Amino acid sequence: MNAPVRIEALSAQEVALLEGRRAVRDNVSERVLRLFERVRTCGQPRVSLERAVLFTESIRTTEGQPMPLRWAKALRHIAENITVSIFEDELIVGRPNDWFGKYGIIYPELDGSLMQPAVAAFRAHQGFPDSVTITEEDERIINEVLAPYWNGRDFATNFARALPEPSRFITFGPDPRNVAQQTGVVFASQGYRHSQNWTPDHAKLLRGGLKAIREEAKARLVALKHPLDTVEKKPFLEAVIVTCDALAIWARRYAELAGKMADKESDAARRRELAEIAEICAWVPENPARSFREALQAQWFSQCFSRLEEMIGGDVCQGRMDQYLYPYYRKDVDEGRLTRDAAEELFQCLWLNMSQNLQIMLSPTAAAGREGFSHHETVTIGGRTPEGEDATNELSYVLLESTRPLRMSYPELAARIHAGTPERFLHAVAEAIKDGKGSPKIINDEFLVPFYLSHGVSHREALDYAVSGCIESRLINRETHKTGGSAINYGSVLEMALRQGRVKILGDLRFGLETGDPRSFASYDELWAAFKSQLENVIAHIMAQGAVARTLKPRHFAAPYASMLHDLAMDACMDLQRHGEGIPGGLDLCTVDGVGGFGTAIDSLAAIKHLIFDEKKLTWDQLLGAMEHNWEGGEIVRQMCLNAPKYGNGIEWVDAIGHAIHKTALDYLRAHPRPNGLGTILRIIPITFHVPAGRVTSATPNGRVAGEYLSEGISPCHGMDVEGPTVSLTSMARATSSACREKGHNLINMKFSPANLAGEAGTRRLMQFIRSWCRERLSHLQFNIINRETLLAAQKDPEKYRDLVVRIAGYCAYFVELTAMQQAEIIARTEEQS
Amino acid sequence: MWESGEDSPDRLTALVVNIQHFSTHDGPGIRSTVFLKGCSLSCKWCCNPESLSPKPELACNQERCIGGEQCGYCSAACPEGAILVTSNNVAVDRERCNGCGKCAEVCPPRALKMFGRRMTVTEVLAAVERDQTFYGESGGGLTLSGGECLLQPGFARALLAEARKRGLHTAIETAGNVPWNFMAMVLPQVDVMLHDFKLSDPGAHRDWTGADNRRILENYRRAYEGFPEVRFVARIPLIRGVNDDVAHVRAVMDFIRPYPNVAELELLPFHNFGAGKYELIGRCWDMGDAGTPHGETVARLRALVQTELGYRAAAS
Repeated sequence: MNAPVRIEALSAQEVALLEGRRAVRDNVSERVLRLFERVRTCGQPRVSLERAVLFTESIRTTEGQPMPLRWAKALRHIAENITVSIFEDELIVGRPNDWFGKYGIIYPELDGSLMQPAVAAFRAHQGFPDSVTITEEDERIINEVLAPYWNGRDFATNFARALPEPSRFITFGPDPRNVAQQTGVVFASQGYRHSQNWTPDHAKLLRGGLKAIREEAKARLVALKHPLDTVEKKPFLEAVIVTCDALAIWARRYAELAGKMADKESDAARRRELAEIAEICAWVPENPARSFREALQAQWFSQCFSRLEEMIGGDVCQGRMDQYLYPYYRKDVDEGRLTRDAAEELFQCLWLNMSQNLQIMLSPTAAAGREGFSHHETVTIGGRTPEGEDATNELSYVLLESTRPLRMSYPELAARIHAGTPERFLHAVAEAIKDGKGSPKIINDEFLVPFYLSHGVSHREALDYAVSGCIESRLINRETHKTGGSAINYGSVLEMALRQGRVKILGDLRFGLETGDPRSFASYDELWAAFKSQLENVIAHIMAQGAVARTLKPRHFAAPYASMLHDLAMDACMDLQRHGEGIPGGLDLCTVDGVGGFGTAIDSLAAIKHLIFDEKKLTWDQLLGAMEHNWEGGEIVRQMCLNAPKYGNGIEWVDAIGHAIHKTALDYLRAHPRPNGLGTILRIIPITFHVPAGRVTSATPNGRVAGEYLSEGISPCHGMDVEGPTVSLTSMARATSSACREKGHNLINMKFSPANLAGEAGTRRLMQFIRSWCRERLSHLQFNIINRETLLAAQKDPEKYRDLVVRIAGYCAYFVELTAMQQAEIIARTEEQS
Repeated sequence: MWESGEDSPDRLTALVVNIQHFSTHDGPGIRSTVFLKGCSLSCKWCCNPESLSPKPELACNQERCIGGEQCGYCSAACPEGAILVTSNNVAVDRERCNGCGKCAEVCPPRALKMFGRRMTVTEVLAAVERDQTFYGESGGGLTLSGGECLLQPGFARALLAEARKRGLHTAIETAGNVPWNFMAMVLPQVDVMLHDFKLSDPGAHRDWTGADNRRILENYRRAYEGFPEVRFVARIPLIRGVNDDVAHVRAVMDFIRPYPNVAELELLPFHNFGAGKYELIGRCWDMGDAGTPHGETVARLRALVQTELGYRAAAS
């Protein structure tokens, strides 16, 4: 008998997919639906080289000048010459490419040396769901214009060259010429991006316009007194003025274009729209925004300019939109110039603009890192005000609702939750989560406010944090760190502890320390000592890499646009890329990331402790022998390992291993402050690196086969937490509850079946679950609420499910655009049943 | 009956089938449900067949077995010769198996597993309290279920009393087929009692569940009258062609109507999710796909309850 498909309930997204509806909800305008359909059917993304070409043209003429000034001049050259275009139905205009559809900006100063081999790799990859189009003309430009200048001058190459040999080896392996293919034992992401997650103070631009910033810079120039000011501060302030001019020029070109198009437009309604666009772009961002619509247009220009300036890991973030846009919204609504529906439509236009921009890294290994072209321009709603009151307002709900109808994962919406979050807001958030798109993710004020307080920040400032990037956060006028950290692969750490520092899949080379043959370990404590040494050694290399990147970056990058929107950078007259650590009053939180296998390592150590030392069911020879052959012929041993006690089930001694791992890293970081006395924080966030991290990790004692993905974030291993979500969450809280000021953000994924949360009772249960999570002071939580059967059906029939959005890590993506390995990983995440 | 010392939480035990966390259909809020083993009914549609017998039972999941070529630990461990292992599979001779569980202890893939573990009140509460932070927020707590949890009234009373002492909300789930003094003994420790009305006609009740319903109804009536402070939630498991008719639903409504402390009437449409478990313990599932009521029937009956009972109709 064929078992019937047992689906008790469907999420809103599943219903819409099955019924073939264009949107998850109906309250959406025809314009938005048309734009959405065009974005979804515009084909594979293309690389957009215009910025790269113009940037290169300018930068080669300014060699030797101060870097901020060079950058500003390049921005002005781009603003004057990049194609401007406005497409049908657009209300919010401006784009760094010249076609409607998906594009990725290329930054040759990052990894220009790798672009030629990358083109070949990308062209070989055509036809895959995650392929990127590179035309013959693109290839010619790369080979003849970009590569000849950037070969040897780009950051990635120089970063690899500058590393101390052991730190280079662990990342790039034995070939000293290799600067592209990373080992995966640690992940160095510095060469992929100018900046880690970043949230510019867009609000400053809306409030005062470029005019105010230019005036401020001029006034500061006049006030410079010290003879040395001409070296750093004067060029910086000049760069700010040039950057203001650049953005003003770019906006003015849009005003002119819209005006010309209006003159030629035959459709009266569109003509009025174009005339309005012309008027708006002639006013903002040079002047303060006067209306909600002007504020959104200025905000979009700000985002775009940030992208033209630099590649921010995960993309430029949007800050607390429900706070800084609220005055414009309130005023327009009160004065009868704006309706709630119109505001939602404008937001949706903005989200659709964002959805066309993708982060494409043109390096040979780029496909391996982030899957589904992830970018997460995080928008924060909710939370508390600097005065400590609940911050939700009508715009929080407008923003939330605006993201619900369309099956797309932009923007990355983050809801700040605190102990006093009103039931109404939590209810709205829970209902949105139940749509099944994995949005919004929720971030805990009760974790983050104390976290910032412990770093010496005032209460007022701490309460005003914005969610930034994947699951991280920013105090936008206080934090100054732009250099991303390298990342720990806990799977490799474990393997090196069991294989005397060697990594089997990487030619059995020794990447770690010689910590002894496990067969000689007489107790679990000896195994733990080996693991601890390997982990500390990896962190040591990661810290060295961070220091090299920070030293090197000022010679390669500047960020006058990001800097001019930052209070402290302007006060100090210093560019953030040059002086992140040195900006007076700045909070510089250097980071180390754990990207995969936290749960894998816990379960593996627990299995060894249980099977070899406590129960004596296995010998080291049996275990290591079975693992050596990737369990072939060792199924009994593997089954014992699979059925040993697992993290995530409320077993105290197992969770305690997680705590020990976490504490080891934190203690080591605390014991080794940077020379300026500043600390380093540890965050456990996977992006999707737990997949490539697994690829280089051979069989592990938790029963996992070689090459398979590792656990992600601080979540338990896939499918291994069988006691339900409440117990699972309690375990995670216990494993990471080190009360240390260095403790950073940790990611938690949960998957529920829609049946568990059906109806109003289900919504209330989800709210209660979130309330308890809030009280446990965990930093982050996100959900996939979808039936396993739907995911399996989508694998079989991707065309029908091309719009199915799922939660990956700190971001969402289309399921069918993921690789097969990532799809399997999503399916394997535990579905919490009752 | 309960000598002093015997009913201390550290000594009093029961056979527990399972403790389910994040239980969402057995009382208010987020709960943990403790399933005791042993039942006084044998409903043909039962979705927890592993809870029927009052003894430990061996479950055999052939899909997990890795076969005798590699393994065979189970048959070597069995003192009764009750396990037959082939090159790729395992079978249990239920006649010979005495439920000692030695095979399950050594089975690497846990293809063999025991249903039923003897646990003390203290042990059960330790497991329940693993996720207690969730109960308070949600108005949730501990639900004691089965099997028929009232068949072990001493344990039930002690567990619920201790749970209350620790600040937990308490609920029980019962089919009511026990001596009245068992129910009366436990009810003082109960905040919510979920109880089933399976069929109205005593003969049909006996045919489908193995016992008639006279004692059950009498127990319910005495409970409503004797325990006004307990919140009672009446439930009808709706089985197509068995009890999904207006007459049965009306009979139940008539029965509970006079009692204001019967706060809700829930209709629970039957599902066959438990079917797979029958094979695991060597029982036969007779219902097939039959039994699942039509969506329209459920909607109609829910509307009826809504009209007749108003606020007492459960939202689900």
